[in-house]
Amino acid sequence: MSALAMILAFAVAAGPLVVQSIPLAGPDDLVFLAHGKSSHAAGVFVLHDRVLQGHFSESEAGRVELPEATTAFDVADLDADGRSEVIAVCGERVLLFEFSIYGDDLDEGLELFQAPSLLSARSMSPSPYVLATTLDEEVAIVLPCEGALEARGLDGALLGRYDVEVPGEEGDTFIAEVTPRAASSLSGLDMRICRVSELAIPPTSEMSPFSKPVGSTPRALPQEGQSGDYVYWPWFPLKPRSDGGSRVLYTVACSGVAETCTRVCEVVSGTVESPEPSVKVRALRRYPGAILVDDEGVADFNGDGFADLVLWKAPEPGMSVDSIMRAAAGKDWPLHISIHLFLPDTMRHDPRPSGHLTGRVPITWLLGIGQAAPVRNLVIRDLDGDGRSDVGLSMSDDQFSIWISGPAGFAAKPDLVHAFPERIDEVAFCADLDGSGVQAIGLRTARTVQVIRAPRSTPPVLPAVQTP
Amino acid sequence: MTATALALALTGVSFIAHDIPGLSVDSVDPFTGQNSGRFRNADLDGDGHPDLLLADSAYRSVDGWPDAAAAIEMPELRAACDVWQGLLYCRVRAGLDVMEWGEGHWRPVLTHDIVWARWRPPDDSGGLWFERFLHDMDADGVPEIVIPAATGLSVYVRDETVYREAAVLDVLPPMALCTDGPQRLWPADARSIRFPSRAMHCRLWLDGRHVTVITDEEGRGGEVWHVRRFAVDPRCGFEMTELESMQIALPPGFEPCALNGDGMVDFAGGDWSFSDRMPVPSPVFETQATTDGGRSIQVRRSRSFTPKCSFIDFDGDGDADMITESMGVFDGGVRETANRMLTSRDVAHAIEVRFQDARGRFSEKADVCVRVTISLDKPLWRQTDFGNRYLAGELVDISGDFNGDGYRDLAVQNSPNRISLFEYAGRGFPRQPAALLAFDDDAEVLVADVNADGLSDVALVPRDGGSRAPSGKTKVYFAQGE
Repeated sequence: MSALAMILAFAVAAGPLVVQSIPLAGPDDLVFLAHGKSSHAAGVFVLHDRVLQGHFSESEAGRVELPEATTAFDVADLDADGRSEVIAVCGERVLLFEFSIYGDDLDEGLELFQAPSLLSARSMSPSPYVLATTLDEEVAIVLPCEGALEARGLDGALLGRYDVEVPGEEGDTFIAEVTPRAASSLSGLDMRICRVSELAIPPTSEMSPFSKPVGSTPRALPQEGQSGDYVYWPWFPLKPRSDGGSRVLYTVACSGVAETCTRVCEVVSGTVESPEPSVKVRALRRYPGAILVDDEGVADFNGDGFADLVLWKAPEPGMSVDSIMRAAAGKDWPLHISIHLFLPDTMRHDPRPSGHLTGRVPITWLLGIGQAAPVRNLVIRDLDGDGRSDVGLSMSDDQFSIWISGPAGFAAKPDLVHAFPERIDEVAFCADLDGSGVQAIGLRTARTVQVIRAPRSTPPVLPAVQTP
Repeated sequence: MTATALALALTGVSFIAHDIPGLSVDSVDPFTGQNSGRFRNADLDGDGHPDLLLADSAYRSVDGWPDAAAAIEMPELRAACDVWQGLLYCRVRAGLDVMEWGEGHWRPVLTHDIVWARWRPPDDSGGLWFERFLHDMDADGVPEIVIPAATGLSVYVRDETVYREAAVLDVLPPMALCTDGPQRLWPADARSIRFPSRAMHCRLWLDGRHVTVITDEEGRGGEVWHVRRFAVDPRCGFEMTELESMQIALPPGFEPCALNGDGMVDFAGGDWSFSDRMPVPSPVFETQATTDGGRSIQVRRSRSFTPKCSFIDFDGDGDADMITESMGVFDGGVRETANRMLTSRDVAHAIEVRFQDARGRFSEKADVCVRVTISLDKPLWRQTDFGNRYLAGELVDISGDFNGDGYRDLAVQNSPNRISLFEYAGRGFPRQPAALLAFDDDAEVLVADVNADGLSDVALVPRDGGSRAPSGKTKVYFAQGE
């Protein structure tokens, strides 16, 4: 059965939840998003060995077989026809592939040009790598070379060469730890040597297409805690949709009962007297429970533009042998998630929760081995396109629940629950796949990626002004 | 320094306590049991007794013990320091100072300018710091200076009165592009052009004229280790000849080490799994080793405990033996486990030794087994500092030889202010400890031969509020032997 047929066979509507199943060929398959049917719609791509399958919608898919020596590839719309192509670096060759529909012959690829680069010598399996960009409105392929980035047109013409900066005194981090060799003569030496070279791209105006900072700002700041010790304070932006710079620092204190401490750091605009903006650090606030954060999501449950607080807690079993025995025999345990809205007037999160999500999770999840919280596959996104964040998470290995936030908050029970035939391993992605404003969630199991979409609420609600 | 107390000696071994301010002792290496420490020993005054060298002062040995009254200041240099037969080799930024102690002061033996391939002081040192850079490659009794640098392994040899760079051994593997994982291709504003970082990691073993270079790379389901071995000829311009090159594919979690004297690179490690054969799903630690180049992997399982040291030459035959430890908390059923976790302060702990035979095989069943009881300050679920140190493997140490008989002895900190020392007696450990060391305050116990007399000593580093206190208060119980 072809992959397309599999998709059609598995595509089902489970109540209001639309579920699409994309089969995987093996556990090492790489699942990622890239340009799909248009610049607004992502496709879901699966790389198995050297076969790249693109899923552009429930019914459209194509594939490309990368050459054996491919080290890096990009998926982008190079010819501006709306459809994505694949650029692959294979040794010194740079190749262009079109996706072939199932049943058609595979595209053997068009060699654009040959150019040596650091990617030529890479002895790795193929990996997604940003190669295509625009330079002076011309499509360019950027290759990392010794000491420089080289931008070339599709015909291989050199459009620009950008030397990389060598940071620091010697440019590299070189660490050598030398100890005596235990199993040799007394003077034998054992050296552990590590050398890392990280070169920065110089910020030049000419390089504007590439000047996006590498990586993101570390989302943690060291702050001096009450005890005088340095405490690790991660943070999330206070206004996720604007770039004001205000942020909420948080840390979790565990002294018997977990509680989350927050400090709002507000960027205050400058005045006529002192035009420079300043940072106002608000008082430390404490909230019962441990914080839940979706690193790429926005927790704004009332659509007011301010980030809200999501906390979890679970009742502690009494510390007696009998209560432990009862808890162990019960196999699952209550989990309580509370929502604290941000109050712009007082610049703090409301100490009273405005909503609750409750359920039961396997008791082994609460043991916390290798997991920070007993909440698995957490997604905090606007899943129905109404401008309010919704919550998706698993309460058991093979089930995923979605709570849709409405004007009155959350319902007592999840709005959507879907049970899968396999254990959910992880959230592979959460993105707007069709440009409709509705976020789709990709859940990875051992043999499939389950793409689920909540139905869009109509019409979209504009961000509301918070009223006390 | 004050020689304060003679520890309680129940049988043969006795200890004498000295304060050694500034002494810092590291934990033992998990694959060798070796404690390299941040101190050195050298016979500075030629009296036949090794003296104890710290970064800022040296304690000369009087009657076998480092003596505060005979302490001397170390040279006031910002330099990497190594010792060789009573001489102090100090690499300053642009030169070499070789010094000896005599007539009450440090005397220069050799001083000249030189450009080092690499010289980088640690961030926390304003004066001397210890490094290992002396190695006698040509076995002429005069050490060469070997320094790993980005260009290779630089070798400096002594010509008459100066050291000069004689060779740069091109043994370091090339820089490779880092496998930073797949880049994000979507959404458009997440796409960024990056210059890929490059890295090189390797282990480099120097044994006489032989250099072994060990590197690894990710493979399917584990790691592929590359081992290259070279012979270096110091008489022919340090010309290198490759003796062997091999690849070994292993599951993740292994580290290269030398478990016996067959000249092969061995690999060992440990990993956690869950046992589903017990009433309570309890974690199981799997100690793993291969002594035949990866052809067979030996796995021995123990319940719920990672030892401080998994391999040590227990019986002094030159081959490393396998150490496993287990705790009795999970013995029995759910109720018994819960009862122990919640109410009991006493934890039953077992240490097992499996000897390595001439074929590199570790015994299936334990050759030596000793059970001790550790009295925690509170039940395990309370997660006190002492309880957490127990779970981290800090309270049991089987790396020391306190009586010099060639067999390892056992040191157990079985309460926050007491250590019991058990001497190995032929087929096992007696129930009664050979010595008890009691102290007032909670302290971290570390075993090392501090005065280089061949007997392991016990260093107590006081703990302050759940963390190690400054080394200025270190007290050492020096073993006096039988």
